[in-house]
Amino acid sequence: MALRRGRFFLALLGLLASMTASLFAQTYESTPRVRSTDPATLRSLGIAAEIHKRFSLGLAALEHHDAAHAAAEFERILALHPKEPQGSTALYDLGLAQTQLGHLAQAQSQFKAAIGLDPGFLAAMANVIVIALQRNDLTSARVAADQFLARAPDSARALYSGGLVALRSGNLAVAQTDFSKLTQLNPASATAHYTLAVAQIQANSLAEAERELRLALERSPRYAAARLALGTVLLRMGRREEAREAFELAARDSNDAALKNLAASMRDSIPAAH
Amino acid sequence: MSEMSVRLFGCLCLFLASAALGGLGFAVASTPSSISDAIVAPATPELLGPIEETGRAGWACVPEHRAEAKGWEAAHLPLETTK
Repeated sequence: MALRRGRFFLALLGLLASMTASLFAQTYESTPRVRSTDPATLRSLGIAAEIHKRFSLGLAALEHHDAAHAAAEFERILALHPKEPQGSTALYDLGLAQTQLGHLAQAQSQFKAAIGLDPGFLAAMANVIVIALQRNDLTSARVAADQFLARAPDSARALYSGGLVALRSGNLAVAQTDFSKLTQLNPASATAHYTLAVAQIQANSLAEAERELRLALERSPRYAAARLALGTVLLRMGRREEAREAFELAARDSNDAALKNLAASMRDSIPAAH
Repeated sequence: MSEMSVRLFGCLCLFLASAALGGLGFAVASTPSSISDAIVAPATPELLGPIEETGRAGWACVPEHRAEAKGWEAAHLPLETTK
C-alpha cells in the first residue's frame, strides 16, 4: 500500500513538473520575435543591427578619446541612411568626433546638418555656436544664436551664447539685453552678474557696471576677476583710492598667476594716498 | 664746429627724440590703466556631450536638457568665480 502511495506521489510530481515546464516554455515562446524570410526585411534588420552596434562602438570610442575610430563608426552609420532620430544623432556625434580631431570646420558642418534633419535640436545649436566662436566665425554664430533663442528663449545657454556672440561682434545693446535676462533668471549667480557688467563696461555704462560687479562680489567675495573689473570701473570714474583697494584685493584673492600680476601692476600704477 | 658735426648732432637729437616718443607711446600702450586689459572676457562654454542612438528626445538625454535649462549650473555654463 505504501509502495503504491509512493508511486502515485512520484507520478503526481512528474505531472506537475511537466506542466510547469510547458508553462515556462509558453511564456518564452510568447516573446515577440520577427520571423521572416523576405530578403528586404532581413536586409533592413541587418542594417538596424549594424547601426545599433556601430553607435555603441562610436560612443565608446568618443569616451576614450579615440576620435578617429569614433568618426569612422558614425560615418559608416550615415552611409547606411538611418532614419530619424538616428540620422541627426549620428551627425551630432560625428561633429563631436571631428572636434576632438581638430577639424572644426567639418564639425560645424555636421552640427548644422543635424539641425537640418531635426530643426528643434537645441544641443546641436549650442555646439554650432561654441565651434563658430572658436573659429571666430561670428556670422554663423549669430545665425545659430538667433535660431537657438527663437526655439528656447528662456534657455540659459541660449542667452549666454547669444550675449557672447553679440559682445564679440560689438553689438553691445543685444549683449546687455541677453545678459540682463540671464541675470534675471539667475539672480544668485555671481558669474551672470559679472558677464552683464563686462557688456556694460564696454558700453561705458559705468554706474550700472559697478552695481552688477558689487552684486557679483556679494555672492562670491573672492571673485578676483570681478574685483579687478570693479577696480578698472572705479579708476575710470576717478575714484582712485577705491580702485587701488580693489586691485589689492584682486591680487590677493586670485588663483590665476596672470590675473594676479595684472592686478598687482594696476595697484602699483596708482600711488597710495598719504 | 664743422658742418659734418652739426649734421651728426642734428641726427642724434632726432634719433633721441623719436626714441623718447616711441618709448612714451609704448609706455602708454602698455600701461595697466587701459580698461580693456583689466577685464577678463566671459569664457566660451564647453561643448555639450555625446547623444545615444535613441536621440535627443526623452528624459535621459543630458546634452539636450543642458541646452534647454534655465539655471546657470543646470546649463553647465562656465563658473569663473575661482579666478
